[in-house]
Amino acid sequence: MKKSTKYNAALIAVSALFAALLVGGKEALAVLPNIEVVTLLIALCAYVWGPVVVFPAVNVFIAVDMAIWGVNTWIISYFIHWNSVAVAFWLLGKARFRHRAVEVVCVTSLAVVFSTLFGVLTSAVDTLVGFTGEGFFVDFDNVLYRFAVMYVNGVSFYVTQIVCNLVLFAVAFLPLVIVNRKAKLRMLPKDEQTTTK
Amino acid sequence: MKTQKRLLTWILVAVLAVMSLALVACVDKPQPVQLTDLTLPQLASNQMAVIIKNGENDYTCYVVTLGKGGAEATTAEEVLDYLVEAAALDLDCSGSGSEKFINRIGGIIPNPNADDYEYVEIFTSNSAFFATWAGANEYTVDNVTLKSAGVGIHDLGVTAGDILYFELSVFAW
Repeated sequence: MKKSTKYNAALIAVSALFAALLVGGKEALAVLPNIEVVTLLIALCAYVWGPVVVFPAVNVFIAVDMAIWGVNTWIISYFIHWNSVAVAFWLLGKARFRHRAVEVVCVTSLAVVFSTLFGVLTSAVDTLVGFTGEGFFVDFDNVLYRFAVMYVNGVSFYVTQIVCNLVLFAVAFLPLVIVNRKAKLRMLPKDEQTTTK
Repeated sequence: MKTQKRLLTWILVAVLAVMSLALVACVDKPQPVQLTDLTLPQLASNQMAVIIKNGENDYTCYVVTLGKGGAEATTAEEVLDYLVEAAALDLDCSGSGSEKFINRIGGIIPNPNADDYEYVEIFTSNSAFFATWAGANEYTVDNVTLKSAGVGIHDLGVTAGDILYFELSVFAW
């Protein structure tokens, strides 16, 4: 069934809102190393609103960050990581949980896994891929040793991020899901409430 | 009796003055050596070197004695602070701790209005502090590898035998 213009406009608006929240949330917390709300917001958006909303929001966020911070290897990490978070939580959002406690444990565990993987991914990309004004290049020289050193040197930052997300997801994710679901019911026409998931 | 006491006092003062002079004379005051090429100096077992590339064929080398009588320093930041005091090194930094950033050192003055981002790049011969990112800059001089440091001067450790090298680098966006 073809979606109405109103329906599509609502989704675009929500996507834009989440993109703005991602950019604003990241910059607002930039002074606090690895304390971030980006994982929470992307997970929430994917979980409730689905791929049509979350993927544009995520990639607009990456594009805006590129405009602010310039091009470098972090773009590769961001593109892989945040889109993967979106996919994972979109799929998790399709599940039906009998008990709220189980849902909390599942979403929090997934957030912790992805937070852990973020450190691994960024260390791997930064040791393997470099960037100059002429473009990206690959450096295989001693890559495993360099990866290990880089990862170990950054462990304190990664642990901060993991703990931050553990707390955020355990405490705030489900309440925000409830708020977003209510908003979704109000915003989207009832007869077009086929799952956007 | 009074005269004797006075004499003894003056002798003591004279001895103390000579001792102080001797102590001061033993304190290392690194003299900058101008070079036209990047070459490494001969170092004693308690010495390290700081080399600054001021421009093409223009290097300044400081040999620093570490420990008593020289620089009581364990980090690059402390070595540079010592050179500011003892050898009138021109150094301008901003920030503090791990955020400390070199704005200017010796003849290296990054141009803030340049098209590409200019900055002072720090190289070290101490492999424990080599940068781990892909394509980190490095030189091999007299069989010694100088590689871009993975940390700033506050966290960059130095020990006897180390070479610290500074040059102007450009980051092209």
